[in-house]
Amino acid sequence: MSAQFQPAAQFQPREKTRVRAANAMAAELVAQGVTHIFGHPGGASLPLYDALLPAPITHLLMRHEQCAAHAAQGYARATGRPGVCLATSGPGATNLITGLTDAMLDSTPVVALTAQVATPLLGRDGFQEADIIGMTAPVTKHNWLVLDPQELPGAVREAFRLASSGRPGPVLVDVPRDVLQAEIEWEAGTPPTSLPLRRADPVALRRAAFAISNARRPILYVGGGVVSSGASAEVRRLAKKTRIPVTTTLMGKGAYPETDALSVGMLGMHGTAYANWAMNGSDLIVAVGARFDDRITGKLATFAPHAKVVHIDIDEVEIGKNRKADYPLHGDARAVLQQLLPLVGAPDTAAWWKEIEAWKAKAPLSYRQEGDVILPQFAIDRLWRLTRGLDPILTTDVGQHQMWAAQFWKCDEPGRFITSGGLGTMGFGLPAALGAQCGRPDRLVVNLNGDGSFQQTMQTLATAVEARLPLKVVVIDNQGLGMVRQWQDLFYDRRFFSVALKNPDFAKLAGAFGAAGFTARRPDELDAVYEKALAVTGGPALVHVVTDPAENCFPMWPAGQSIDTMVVEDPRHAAKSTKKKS
Amino acid sequence: MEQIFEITVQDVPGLLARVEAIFRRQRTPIRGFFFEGGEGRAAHLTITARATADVASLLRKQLMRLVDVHAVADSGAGAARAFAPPESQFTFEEKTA
Repeated sequence: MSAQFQPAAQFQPREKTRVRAANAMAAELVAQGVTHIFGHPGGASLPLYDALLPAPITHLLMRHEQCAAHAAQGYARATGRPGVCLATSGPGATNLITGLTDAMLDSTPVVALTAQVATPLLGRDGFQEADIIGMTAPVTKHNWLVLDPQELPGAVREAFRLASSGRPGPVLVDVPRDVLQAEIEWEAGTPPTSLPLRRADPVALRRAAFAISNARRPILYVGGGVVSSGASAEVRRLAKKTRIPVTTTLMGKGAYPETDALSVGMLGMHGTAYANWAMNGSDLIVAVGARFDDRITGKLATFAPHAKVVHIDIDEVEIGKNRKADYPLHGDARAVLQQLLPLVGAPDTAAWWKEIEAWKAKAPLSYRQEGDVILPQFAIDRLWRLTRGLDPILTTDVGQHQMWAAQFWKCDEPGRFITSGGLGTMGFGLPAALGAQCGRPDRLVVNLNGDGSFQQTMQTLATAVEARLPLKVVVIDNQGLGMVRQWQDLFYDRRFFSVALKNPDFAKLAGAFGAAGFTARRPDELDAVYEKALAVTGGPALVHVVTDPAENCFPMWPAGQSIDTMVVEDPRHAAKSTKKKS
Repeated sequence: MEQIFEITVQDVPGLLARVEAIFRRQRTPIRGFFFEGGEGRAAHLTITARATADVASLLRKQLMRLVDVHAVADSGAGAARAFAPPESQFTFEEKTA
C-alpha cells in the first residue's frame, strides 16, 4: 500500500519514500510554489485529484477547460509565476488548446497538466483518448507524455523550469491514469533553479549604443518582453537618460508609464496617431521585447522606411524575422539594458520632440460624449478615473472595448493590463481576471468585457461566486460584435451580417449566478453604478453598461495597408467640434 | 536555393513531427531526408530543402527552439551553430567616435 501524502513532506530531508506517482506529482507542485490550480476533473485525472485533496493548493473548479487555461494565464501575468491548469483526458485536454495557443503567442508561463487514458489503451481509440501531445506540439514550448512513473516528478520540475525560462510559454505534461496510480521511489523535490540571464555580445552592444547616442529621430518601441523580463525600471532609466520618446505595444502597456511626458502611448492599428507617425518617421527604432507584428507595422514594405533598428530580444527567432535588425542584441531585455545603459549618451532630440508635440496637438485621442447614450470610450475613461488611485489590475477581452481600453486606460506599472494580444481570443478576459485575483488577492481586479466576448466564458462567474472572489466585471454592451461590425461598416459597404446580438439582461444574469449586478443606461448613471460595484465585497460584481452600438474605434488603418492610410478620427464625427481629449 | 540542415537531436517519439511542422509553417517542402540513430537517444537528421537564405536562417533558429534539438549546422560548417548573427567589426565612424 502506498504512503499517504503529507503536505509538509517536500520540506523534509531528502530520503527516498515509496509513494503513488500522483502523490509525488502533487508534492512536486507544492515544492514548485503552486498555490492555485485551475481545472476540471474527469475519470482519468481522478488519481491526481485524490492526491491533491490534502495538498495546500487551492483548486478552482472551472466550468470549461478553456477557462482554466485563461485563468492560469491571468494568474501568471499578475504574479510572474507559472499558472497551472489541469484537465482530464480527451475533450478535457482538447478544450485547453485555445488557451495554450494564446499563452504561446503572448509568451505566458503556463504549466498544463492533462490526464490520459491508461497505457494499454493508448493508440486504441479508447473512451476519451485524444493525442493531446500531437495536437499541442505546435502551441507549446514543449510537451511530454510520461510513460515511466519514475520520471513523473522530474517531468513536473522540468515543466516549470521550461515554462518560465528564456522566452516564457506554455508546457504540457500528459500522464496516463495507470502512471498516476503506480508506486514509485520518490525523494523530495528541489526548489526551482534560475538560469543565468543571457547577455548581449559586448561588441554589438557598443555599436548599438553608438547608434542610439547619435540618432536624431529615435523611438523606444517597448513590448511584452519588457514586462516578462522585469525590465521596466531599466526602460525608464534609458528613456530618462536619453529623452527618447517611448511607445508601447498592447502587451507592453505599463512597461513605461503612459502618463509620463516621454510616452506617446500605444502604437499599432488602433494606437495613437502620433505614436504611429513617430514610429514611421524615426531614424532609429530601439525595439525591446517586441516583435514587429503586422498590427504594428501594417504593410512591412512601407513601414518606417528611414529607420535603422536596434532589436533586443531573448528569442533569437524574433530578431530579423519581420524587420531586419541592423543592431541585433540577443539576450534578456533586463540584462541587455543594464549592459547598454552605461554606454549610451543622450542624443539631440529637441527638434524631434517639437515635431512629436505638434502631432500630439494635431491628433489627440478623443471622443464626444453628448446626449443620453453612453459612449464606450466615456464608460472606460470614467472607470479609469474612478479607480486609478487604487492601482487596479485590468483584464480585457477582445474586440472594440479592448482597443478603447488600450487607448483610454492609462497604465503606469507593468502587470496591470492583462489582455489577449497575439491570438486575440474572445472569452479570455473573465477567466483571466479570476486567475489574476487568485494570484493577487490584495489588488482590485477589474475585467472589462464586451457583450459578445463575455458570453463566451461567462460561466466563470459561477467559479468566482463559489470562491468569493471580489472581482469586478464591466460589460460594455453595444448589442453586437462591434469590431466585426466595424469592419463590415468600413470595408464591406455596410453589409451587416451576423453581428447583431440579442442579449440577456446581464445584471439579472449576474444575479442568477449569485453575483451582484448593476446596470447603467445613461451617462449620468455611470459613476454611481461603478461606486456601488466597487463597494461590493465577498464576491464578484457585474456592471452592465448599455452603450452606443454604432460607435467605431479610431484611429485605424486597414489590415495589411501602410500606416499612411490611417484614419485618425471617425469621419462622421470629424466635422463636429466639441471633443473630450485624453 | 538548396539548403542542407544537419540536425543533432534527442530521438524521442514525435520529434519528426515537430521538425516537419517548422518546415511546413514556412511553406518549405522537405526534398530530402536522412535519419541516423546514434548512441542512446542521440540521433542525426539531414534535411534538404529549397529555401532562400533568409528563410533558411529563420528555420535554423526555429529548429534550435525545440527542446529536443541540440544543434543545427550549415551544410559546410561542421558542428557549429549556423544561425549566430554575423557581428561585423566597428565601422570607421564608430572607431573614431
